[in-house]
Amino acid sequence: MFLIDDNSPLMDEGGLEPRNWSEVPFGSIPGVSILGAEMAIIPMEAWPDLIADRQRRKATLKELWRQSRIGVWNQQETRYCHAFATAMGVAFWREQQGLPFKELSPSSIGGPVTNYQNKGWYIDGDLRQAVEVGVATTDFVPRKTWRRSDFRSGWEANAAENKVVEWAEGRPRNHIMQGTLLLNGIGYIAGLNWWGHAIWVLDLLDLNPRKRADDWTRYGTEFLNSYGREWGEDGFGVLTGERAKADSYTIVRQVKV
Amino acid sequence: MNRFVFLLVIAMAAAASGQDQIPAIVWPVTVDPVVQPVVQPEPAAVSKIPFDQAFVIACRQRMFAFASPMEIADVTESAGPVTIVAVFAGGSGKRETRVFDAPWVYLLEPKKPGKVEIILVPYEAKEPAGNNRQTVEITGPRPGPDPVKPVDPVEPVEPKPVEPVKEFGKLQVLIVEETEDRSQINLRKPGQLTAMLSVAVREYMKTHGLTAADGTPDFRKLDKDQDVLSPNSKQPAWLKTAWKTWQDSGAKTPFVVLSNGKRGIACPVPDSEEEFLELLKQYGGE
Repeated sequence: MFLIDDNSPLMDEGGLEPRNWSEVPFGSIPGVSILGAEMAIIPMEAWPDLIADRQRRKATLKELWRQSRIGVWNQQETRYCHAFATAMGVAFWREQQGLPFKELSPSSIGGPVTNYQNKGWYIDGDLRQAVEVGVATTDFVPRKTWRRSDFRSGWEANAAENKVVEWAEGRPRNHIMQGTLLLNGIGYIAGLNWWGHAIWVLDLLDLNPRKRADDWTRYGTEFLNSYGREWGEDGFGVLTGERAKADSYTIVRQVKV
Repeated sequence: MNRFVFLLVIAMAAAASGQDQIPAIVWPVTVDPVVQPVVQPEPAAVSKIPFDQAFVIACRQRMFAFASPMEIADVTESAGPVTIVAVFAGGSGKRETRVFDAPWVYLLEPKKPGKVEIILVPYEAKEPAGNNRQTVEITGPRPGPDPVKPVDPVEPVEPKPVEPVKEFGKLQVLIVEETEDRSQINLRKPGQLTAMLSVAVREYMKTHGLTAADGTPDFRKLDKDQDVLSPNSKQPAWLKTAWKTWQDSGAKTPFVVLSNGKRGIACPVPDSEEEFLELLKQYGGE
């Protein structure tokens, strides 16, 4: 297990632009619902049993990933972690829905939102792109590129086939809602300001069963990074403590079928 | 399925907040004020509950009610009013008929003897503060079959097979859910959510399901708000038929519609992964 805890050094991957909460307050984005308004939280007292049952039965998003074709993505020299995490969210939701597999291109999001520059961006901006334009497949846009010239003709029509229909955001650093989502089999796109990075989080782990159920440091959130299989443990890592509290997190609620 | 209910009547109090032994739950003010749920134990709280006695909690407000650890007991929810005939823990020791005239009634269903914590969380809680909880001990051996069933006007939807002849065939399966309900399902019927998220079910569909030209099994798990039937929807015919079957049924989610081309079934998603796989095998074979 590749664990990142509160003793881990701060990093700055530089791919995430922290959301400006003054300019874009929580709950202010049109068409975006607020988590907690409809989906109630699961009390932490219930977490250990639910985690144990889910692990025992292999009914986790990681198990879903194992039997899928999603794989581990690698942003390499691009600073498109924001787009990679967003596209992973779309890919996972499609997999959950049982939709045909498509090799999605994160760069089809990252390129347009950054005006085809290799730079970080805002997750909410990526999601708006995924809603308004969609996500193209790698047939039309290579997975890793920021060059406009690499976008094949017809990419937008292709992207429109894979639009996000609905998404929702959670209140920043609300670890109870984060845990609730994961226990409900809903992964989230997390923005971590301490890392300057965006990741896709998919499972809740019970790391320290001796601790109280309502102690956040008992748990870890497992995530799929966009650094390839050589990073962490086969591309995965686990956050715990304050590091695991996302400064922003959003879920894809519906994709176009 | 036998139901054994254990009773500790938690009175439905009137407004008397002064009698509360458990702090009232505080709500953020949004629109109309929410009626404060008042959950009160009897003055002499029952801490030990014999297996054959009933334990009932009545609440003004809907709660996430669950028991921990899950292996010892379950908590099931009924919309009130509910009439229960049972020997009630803390009661006369004789069989009684009681009417629980509250909006929500929660029944403890023991599975085996042991200590269990019953936890009540207001349904619309934004934070965990305000949880009401009580630890009880379930005692004695599990008695023989003696179902004590509350008289509930809401009858569960029974699965209705389309044809009785058992012919197997490749399956097409649609699950319709309300994604926002997953928390409720996770707490009340966690096995049902496991069934919906089951990788084992998907693995079964890979070998026993019909597939599209690209090899994708005819298996979909969609939110009820998904646009499947519109003219612009490019969904396969089987999916549109299954979707319409669900819509026409008027049934609540989560719901499953499946067919093997010769016969099919439309029913609530089973309460466990095992039951769901068993259901699939009834139509898809081993």
